[in-house]
Amino acid sequence: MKSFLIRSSIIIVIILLQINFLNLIFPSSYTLNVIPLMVIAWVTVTKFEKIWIWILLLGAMTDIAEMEKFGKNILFFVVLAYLVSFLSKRFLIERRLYGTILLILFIITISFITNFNGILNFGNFSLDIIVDNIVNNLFAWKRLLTELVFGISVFYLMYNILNKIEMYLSKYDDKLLGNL
Amino acid sequence: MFKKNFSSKIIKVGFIFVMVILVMVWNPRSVFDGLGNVFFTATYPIQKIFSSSANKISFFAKTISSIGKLKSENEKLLYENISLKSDNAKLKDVSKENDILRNEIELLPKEKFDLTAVHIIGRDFYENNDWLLVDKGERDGLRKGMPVIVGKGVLIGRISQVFPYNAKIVTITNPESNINATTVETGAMGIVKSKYGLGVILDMVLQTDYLKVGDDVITSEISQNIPRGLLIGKIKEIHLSEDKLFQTAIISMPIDFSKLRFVFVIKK
Repeated sequence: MKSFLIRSSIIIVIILLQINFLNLIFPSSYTLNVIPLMVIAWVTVTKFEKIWIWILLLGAMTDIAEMEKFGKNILFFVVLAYLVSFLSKRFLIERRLYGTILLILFIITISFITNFNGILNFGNFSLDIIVDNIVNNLFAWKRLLTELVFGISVFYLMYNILNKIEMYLSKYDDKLLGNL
Repeated sequence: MFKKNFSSKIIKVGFIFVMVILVMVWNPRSVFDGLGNVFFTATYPIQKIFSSSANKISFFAKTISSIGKLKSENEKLLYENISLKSDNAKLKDVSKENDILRNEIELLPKEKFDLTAVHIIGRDFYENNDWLLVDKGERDGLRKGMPVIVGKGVLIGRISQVFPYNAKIVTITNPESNINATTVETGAMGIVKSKYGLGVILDMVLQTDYLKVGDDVITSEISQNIPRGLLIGKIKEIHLSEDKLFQTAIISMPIDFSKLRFVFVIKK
């Protein structure tokens, strides 16, 4: 029950933080989308098998809060979580340097995908969107660099917070099992 | 061990994929709207705390960054003040003429709109300014379809969903938005819609209609619930549609949606 409440609160707070705080502070062209970063941090901190249901819930809640096509964020987050989990098994644990490079690449990719206007709008997907967005986003170095710096800082912060929370929850679960 | 783990993950992801795609096809809008209603109503106090903190931080950051610019801005404002005084004198004369013209074409004076000021407390996830969340809702008399403006009559969108304490505004840059519009000088008619979330265009303009760069685009009387005469923007470029049957004009909008803090809902 405790872990349910804590994880649900994390999901609600991160969604509200994005809609009602970050999107109001940062100008449109530099807005940072922290929800996909949280998915990466969550999967890196704990196992995919343990967290996938919460990633699914995060996607569902994001879709409900976005009030548009239900399901697109669920698909995006679950695939992202799976990819991170799949690759992190091979790089993050054994090789620290490759792991760091891989995380940076993930953050850049996430920034690029979330800037990629319309890519997550299934109804409007066309070649024109891809061309327009590559021209507008791929060569916007200043924007990418700013987002990378923000992204890494936020990721580091979230990683540490989630790590502490998950450690606390696993200790709590162990204690409960011990009592049983 | 690894193989077993890998296949179990793939099964989970595959299962989610199939289920989500089925839900996307089914798309029970009323269920999700109801869930959205519960979510936004229950979290309203937290939303207010976050948005007011964001506005305070944003205001503080703007104040700090503007200190250096104050001197040059002061000189600029003095110059602007002088030119505005002369413009004001001219406008008084034009205003009288405007009243006569408005009466002739039955345009509602902007002052007669029943406006409600709303505070923006949320924005869409993917930075497109596709929708805005405001701090007033059903309890304040807001209803679905009401137009939303800034200043005295620049259209920014309309209300698409109403919750007890919040409302969602779909902006004119949203791909779902379609607004009937006309040009002021030439009277060409068309539909204003989003261009892949990157801007807005005046589309479906007949070949026989004349479009002019720099002409103002305003809402036409055909738009449901939207009064005629609200400014949408100026024509920037004119093209032929892909099938060469219609003309299309790219519209430059007079406002930056990302800088908006307050907007006005036209209730009547």
